[in-house]
Amino acid sequence: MAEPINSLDAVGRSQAELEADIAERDEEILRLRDLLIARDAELGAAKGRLQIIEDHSERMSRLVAKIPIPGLAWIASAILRVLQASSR
Amino acid sequence: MAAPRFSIVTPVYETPADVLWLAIESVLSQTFGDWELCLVDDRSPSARVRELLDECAAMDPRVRVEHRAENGGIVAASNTALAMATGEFVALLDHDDRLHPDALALVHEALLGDPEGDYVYTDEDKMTAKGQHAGPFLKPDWSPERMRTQMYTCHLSVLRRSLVEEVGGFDPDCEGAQDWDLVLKVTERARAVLHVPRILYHWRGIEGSTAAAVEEGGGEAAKPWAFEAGARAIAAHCERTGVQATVARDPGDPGVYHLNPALREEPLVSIVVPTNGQKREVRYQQVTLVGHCVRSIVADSTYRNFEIVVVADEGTPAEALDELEAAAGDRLRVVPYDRPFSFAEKINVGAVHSHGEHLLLLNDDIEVGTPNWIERMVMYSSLEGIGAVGGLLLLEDGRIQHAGVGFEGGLPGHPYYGYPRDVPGYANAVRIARDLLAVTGACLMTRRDLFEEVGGLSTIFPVNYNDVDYCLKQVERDRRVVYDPDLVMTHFESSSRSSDVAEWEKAQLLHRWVGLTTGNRFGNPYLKNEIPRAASAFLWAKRRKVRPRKRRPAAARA
Repeated sequence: MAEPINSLDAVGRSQAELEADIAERDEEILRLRDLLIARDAELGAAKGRLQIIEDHSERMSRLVAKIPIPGLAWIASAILRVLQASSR
Repeated sequence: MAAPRFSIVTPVYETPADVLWLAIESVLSQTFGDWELCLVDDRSPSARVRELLDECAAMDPRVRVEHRAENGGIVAASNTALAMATGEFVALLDHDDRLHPDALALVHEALLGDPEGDYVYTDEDKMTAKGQHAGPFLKPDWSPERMRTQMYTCHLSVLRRSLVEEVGGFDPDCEGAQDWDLVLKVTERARAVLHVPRILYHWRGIEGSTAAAVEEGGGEAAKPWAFEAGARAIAAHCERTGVQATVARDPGDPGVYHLNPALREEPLVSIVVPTNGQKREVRYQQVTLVGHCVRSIVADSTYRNFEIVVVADEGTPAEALDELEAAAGDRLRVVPYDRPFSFAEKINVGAVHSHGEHLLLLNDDIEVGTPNWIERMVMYSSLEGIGAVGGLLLLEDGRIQHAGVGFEGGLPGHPYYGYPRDVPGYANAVRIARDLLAVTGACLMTRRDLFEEVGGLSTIFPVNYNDVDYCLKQVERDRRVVYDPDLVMTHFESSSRSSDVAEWEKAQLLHRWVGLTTGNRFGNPYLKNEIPRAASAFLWAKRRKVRPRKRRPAAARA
């Protein structure tokens, strides 16, 4: 990890040395920024997947809320299975 | 004997007898009786197939059978079946699939409603090997742009026979995608294309069939030549219709194709960018948004013939304007704007100060992601009948911000908002080009003459919905609004304006467009936010009336 810059660092150093130091630190900043951007993209992909799951779960919850009688969903799926079997 | 309304053409080759009988039986059970079934055996090795066909022909005079002397493949057999057909319309049925009992009745009703209909298609589902219904494909109304990137009309397809003959029937050069090629050719000449939003065709997934392969997420392995033929069919269609594009296959999904622009000329494009010179952090760096936007246009675009018209609020900092000058040089024109904020008016003012044949409306918080983005937009915008073009916009972290505008209850929204970039969407909706009612104005191209014809953006929507309203004005004039999935931009959303929509804005939009937006023709009655409603699971069972089944012939019983 790069050391913190301190005004005393500049004392007794040549212009070229300071410029090289700045260039090195700029490079480090770019590297860290790229790292953050890549992490943001990873986080974004995870957030996106989470949103898909949340949306799906919300839809399911809404559907369940629309079926007031316990077991009605099971009965509906059984009817669907029977219908499918009879249509073969 | 008078010609029937429908000729169902079915080439047959070595079909399992029970499956073939179910296909034939589904025709015999139609609630609409004015049809003939043209079955052509492509010299199946199995004697049982021939026996079954002959038995079916003896059972009902409307069933006509021809046995080819030699095996010629699907196209030759289909053309033989076409030659047998005498009906006004030709319906395509594969030898292992089934029609819904009301299929022909509902297609007939649709044609009675619009006698100019030259091509009719319906929704479809798949049947597993066990005969269970799955994967309902609930389609939008006619979308020529979608048809160039996905054979979405597929089954059931019913075509006017005179047009089929005019285009020469099935093309042997497109073996494997012969139906796609035929539909493209017929629709190029069709007066009207009709969609019946009901599942009237059941695609059976038996071993080796495309349906089975698609269900398994592949398809390529089952019929690799078919997908190459698909690319040839689209390329030929583009050539015939003047679409300046080449065709590429999707590396991940064999049923998806992409158009790449191959423009013969580059007309002047005016990019209109309203701004107030706002600063914000973009990728951990503080930037002036409009400067960042213009730099990315200049640095990353391959299109050369464009000008940038920046409409800048009074308070825009001078250094922001200097930054623009440095980035864009001679291409830049800055138009001062000193009235209260109105996005619509700023765009209109920018359009007045521009000279391009095409106008490209662009928010100042957009960054170019696709180098040939302008070419892509011009490719579509230049086509006759297209009113606006938009693309896929991503948030800073790569999630989807815009993949087309959808409507629920007459109000617009962004389906797939916040989903990962690689989500395909319902029936590949994110990955394919398609026609919609609207795209976002954050990145939208339109032809100048069309913009002027409708009076630009409506200033009664100063902040929200002016883009949607603009697209709907084009749709009202029978123009198409296109979403291009391969035009990818980053949208640093919420920088451009507040995302809150006022109640009066909603009411105004509803009042103005409710007739067009409810029953969105680029959606489907059984889709909500591009997701099938629960009721769609029962669609295959929905019938007008039940008819007793025909007795199964002996050849199908063994």
